Amino acid sequence: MARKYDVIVIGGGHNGLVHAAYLARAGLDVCVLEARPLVGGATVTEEIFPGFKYSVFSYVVSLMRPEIIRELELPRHGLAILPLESTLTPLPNGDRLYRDADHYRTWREISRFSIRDAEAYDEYGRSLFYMARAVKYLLDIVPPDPARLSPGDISGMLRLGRHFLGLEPDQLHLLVKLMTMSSADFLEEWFETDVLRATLSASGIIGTFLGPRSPGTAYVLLHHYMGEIDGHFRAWGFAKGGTGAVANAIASAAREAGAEIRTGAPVARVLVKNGRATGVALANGDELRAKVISSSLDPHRTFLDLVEEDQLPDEVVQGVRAYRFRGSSGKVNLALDAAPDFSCNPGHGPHLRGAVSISPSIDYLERAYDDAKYGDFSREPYIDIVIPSAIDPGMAPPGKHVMSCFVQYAPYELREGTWDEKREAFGDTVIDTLARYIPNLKDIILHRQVVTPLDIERTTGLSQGNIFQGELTPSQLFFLRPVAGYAKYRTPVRGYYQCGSGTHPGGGIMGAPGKLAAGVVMGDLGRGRRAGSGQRAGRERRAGRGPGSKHAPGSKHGLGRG
Amino acid sequence: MMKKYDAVLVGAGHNALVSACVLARRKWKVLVLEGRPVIGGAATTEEIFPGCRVNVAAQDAGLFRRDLASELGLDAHGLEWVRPPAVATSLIGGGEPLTLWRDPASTHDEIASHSRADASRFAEWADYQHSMARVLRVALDHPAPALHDLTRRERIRLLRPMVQAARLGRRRVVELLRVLPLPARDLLDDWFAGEALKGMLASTALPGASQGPSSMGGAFRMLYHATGNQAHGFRSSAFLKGGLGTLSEALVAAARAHGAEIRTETEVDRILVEDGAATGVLLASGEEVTARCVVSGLDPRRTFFGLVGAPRLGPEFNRKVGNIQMRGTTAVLHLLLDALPPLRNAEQRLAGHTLIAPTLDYLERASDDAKYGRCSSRPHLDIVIPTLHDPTLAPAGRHLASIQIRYAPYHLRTGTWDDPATRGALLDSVLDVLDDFLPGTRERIVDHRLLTPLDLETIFGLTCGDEYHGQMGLDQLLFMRPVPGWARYRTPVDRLFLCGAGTHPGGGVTGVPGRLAAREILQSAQRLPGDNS
Repeated sequence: MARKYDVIVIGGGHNGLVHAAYLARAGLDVCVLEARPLVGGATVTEEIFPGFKYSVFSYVVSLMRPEIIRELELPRHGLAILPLESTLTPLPNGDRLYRDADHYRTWREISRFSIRDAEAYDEYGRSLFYMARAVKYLLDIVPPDPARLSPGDISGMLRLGRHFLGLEPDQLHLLVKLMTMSSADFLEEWFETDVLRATLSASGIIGTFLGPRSPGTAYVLLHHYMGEIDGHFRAWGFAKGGTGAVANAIASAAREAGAEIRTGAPVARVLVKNGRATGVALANGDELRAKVISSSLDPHRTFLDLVEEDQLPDEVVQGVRAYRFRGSSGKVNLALDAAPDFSCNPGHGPHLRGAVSISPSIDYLERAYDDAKYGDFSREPYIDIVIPSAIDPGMAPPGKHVMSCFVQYAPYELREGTWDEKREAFGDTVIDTLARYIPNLKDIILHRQVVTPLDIERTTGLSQGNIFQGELTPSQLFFLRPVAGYAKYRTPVRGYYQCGSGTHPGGGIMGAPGKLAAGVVMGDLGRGRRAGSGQRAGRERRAGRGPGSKHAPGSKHGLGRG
Repeated sequence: MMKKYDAVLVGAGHNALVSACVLARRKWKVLVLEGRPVIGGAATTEEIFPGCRVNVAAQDAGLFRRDLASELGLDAHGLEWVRPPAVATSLIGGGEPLTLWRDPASTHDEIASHSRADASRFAEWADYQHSMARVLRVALDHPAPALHDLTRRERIRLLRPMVQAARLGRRRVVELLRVLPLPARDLLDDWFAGEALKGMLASTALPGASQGPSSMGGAFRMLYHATGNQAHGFRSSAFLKGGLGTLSEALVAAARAHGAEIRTETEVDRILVEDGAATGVLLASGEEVTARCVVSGLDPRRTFFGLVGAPRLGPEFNRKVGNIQMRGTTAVLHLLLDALPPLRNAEQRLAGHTLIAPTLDYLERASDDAKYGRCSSRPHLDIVIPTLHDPTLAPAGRHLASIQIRYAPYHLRTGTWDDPATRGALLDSVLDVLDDFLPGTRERIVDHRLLTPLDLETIFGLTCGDEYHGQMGLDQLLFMRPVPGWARYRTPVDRLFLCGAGTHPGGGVTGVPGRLAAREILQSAQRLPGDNS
């Protein structure tokens, strides 16, 4: 019989890999099982069309926790992040809104629409910077469970309270507004220019099944503001070699630490014996044993597919059933014979090295959402474009380009027809929409890859194609992610853990779930440090708390008292 | 000039009257000033049609706290509660109507005829809704936590509600936190399959917001509307013999019984402020009324911009008041009918709320129109026929129907509410919907009166026609209501207090803001000069 690992990690997405890397570095015998022939999950680069490298799904990097980049020494493993310099928002009337790092150029550009907004723009950026900093505290802690009264949870809640009540009143109120308002209403308090509101609110709808006028989108706005590259907030970057380079770097770090990574090894189910996970059964029938099984798959697959429901309490099953995915976005990846020529900004220029956002007005985005609400893909979708080859020439042959178009809304559940029937129509809609702003587009397309929510689900296994492994709505965040009582990466099955984006703090190429989960696993194994409830891993490290800190709340689920 | 009153209250809406009662019972010398000839604010019953007593705006008294009514001894002043057998009836174009009865067994059978699964779950839902509403009510019926300065006294005050909530079960509290932000659609999809049932339940999430069932916070509003008397799975609902106005009249009687003065047709021109403190009010007549404190039952924007004046308040506070989301989206149509609309067993079925909310998508599309500043082409209707609770409200054989119409946005993209064409178009769309869902109604109309959001503003002084004095979104609750940092009924002007629906916990005929405001005022009494013993 095969040897017994300490930990088996199901899924080789970026969180699974981060999880594995940290556990391996703690001296554990770790094995990662990835169904696909390549690691990365939704963070992959693939040469779908000869000579052209597509970041097939996820396409920009920013949320990746800097301490993970540091601790895993990802740059040494080949991670290089090239900053996206600007955001261009073309308008139907041929005008545009162009924003970049150059403060004065951006000021002049916005002041063409409104001096008042140009003035407010900086203060807005500052405020969200502070908000993001206040919230970032949450990215580094294991959520305490307010329904339990274990010492760890109580102290965690208290620490939490102290942190947020320590904020200036105005900041606290701004934070509450961000948690509860719609991005449109929130931005209306700041700006009067529709296009500025629209293009800013766009980052509030990404990955959600909500429109800019739906409450809750302001939080997603903030979530995307927590991006950080070399300490620069709101810095969005592009990984040299495509998003896959991120996963490859983490994988290499994990391997160097001794982790074994098996690709093409889909897991059929988790083996459970008297309420304890003992190993996994692969699709090919092989069985692998381990003390700990960590699933980086989304909650639906982790709880309802990999283990038998009768292993779980009813409220957990109901909770996971009520947990919402609702994939709402697709991708169109293009191989281009030449650079796209924007009518609002003809020829080459820095705008090609930035993001281009098709979000001309709030109503435009809201209408796009209305279509999806009733089960159709948007007739005029929101599109977020980057041209990786303009930043990293290696992505396409000389003079040619790859263009990545993130598209919303593409509802997973269509009112009529299937995505297999609608795929090309969806692609045409996107191209037609783009052609209004890029007249030469249709003539220079060499190849196009249309990725529907169904394709995302089929390829990466993300339920309903939700890129965040579940909506980032207040009902599914922090101690409620994925379900109340199991937000600490444990599950009702002893020795079975979660480490994917379906857990706190959620989606995006962030790595935080994988790292925090690793802390909990190590704690339960009595190995290395553990990120106890509400405790900052960082502070704890400095404090140098040893194995199994004072308390191990709920460790009956783990191995602490196994 | 000597100070004549301990407190002068601006506006005689039900919340101000509750405050007046509470203060008067503490031997305060109280004066209530109402600009209109009738008291009650939006909770009035007036003769709109000759010989008829019509609930002009608000219809339902189910949210008014019973413990408050008994504390103030209102029943002694002639309140007669009517709880018709039907809680609500949803009309489904063509199909059989769906009625929720006060008697659970009848409700079960009724739903079972549409969906067996839903029928068996409904009782469970009613319990769930009740338990959630009870936890929520703890937060609503206590002062909002002043998170910005948690003094020792604050912490102690916070303990009571926290303990109360914890008693109801910590898991429940966590579940409430999960549920509150949910869209009504998501919450109901988790419970039921039947579109008709979901549509009718979701309709209780619409008042107080301009958003449809798919928007976050709907679940909160559903539960908010269930924090009064037993909601039976729908919403707290109860009517009054003689109309909702009798509640206001009872409050006036109770206040007068304790020596409070109430003056109607007394327009307040502005609130007098001397070195940062309110000293009284100036009446439109030019008369000055001085008092130890001024309490405004008007909505915050009208109070601060209309009566105090922005220059006295400072830019930061003005920005906050300007940012309060006030979005009237409701119009009211009153009908005088020469007979009940033709419907089998109409006396029974139409005695509660009669709803045009056949599906979630119907409500969703109605709200879509409002998003783009249009009236709903197919509006959602909430019909109440008070003559089924008290026939004497109209001449013999006649019936009254008061219809809440959603959505009719105050801010129109095109056209204005003064334009007869706009009103006509809205009226037509309502009558068309009635023809489809309650055919034969049109033929029975003897007289009608349409109140647009603009009318609600001009008649009742509701800014933007927002009957909740500010949207009931998650961002305008608790310590965020009326504006962040001023949730304790106090204002930047010393000795000026708020007590209206614009304050915590919010709108609806609950009486809670008035009650909590009065308590806050009594607590700060020692800071007020003069002696009120």
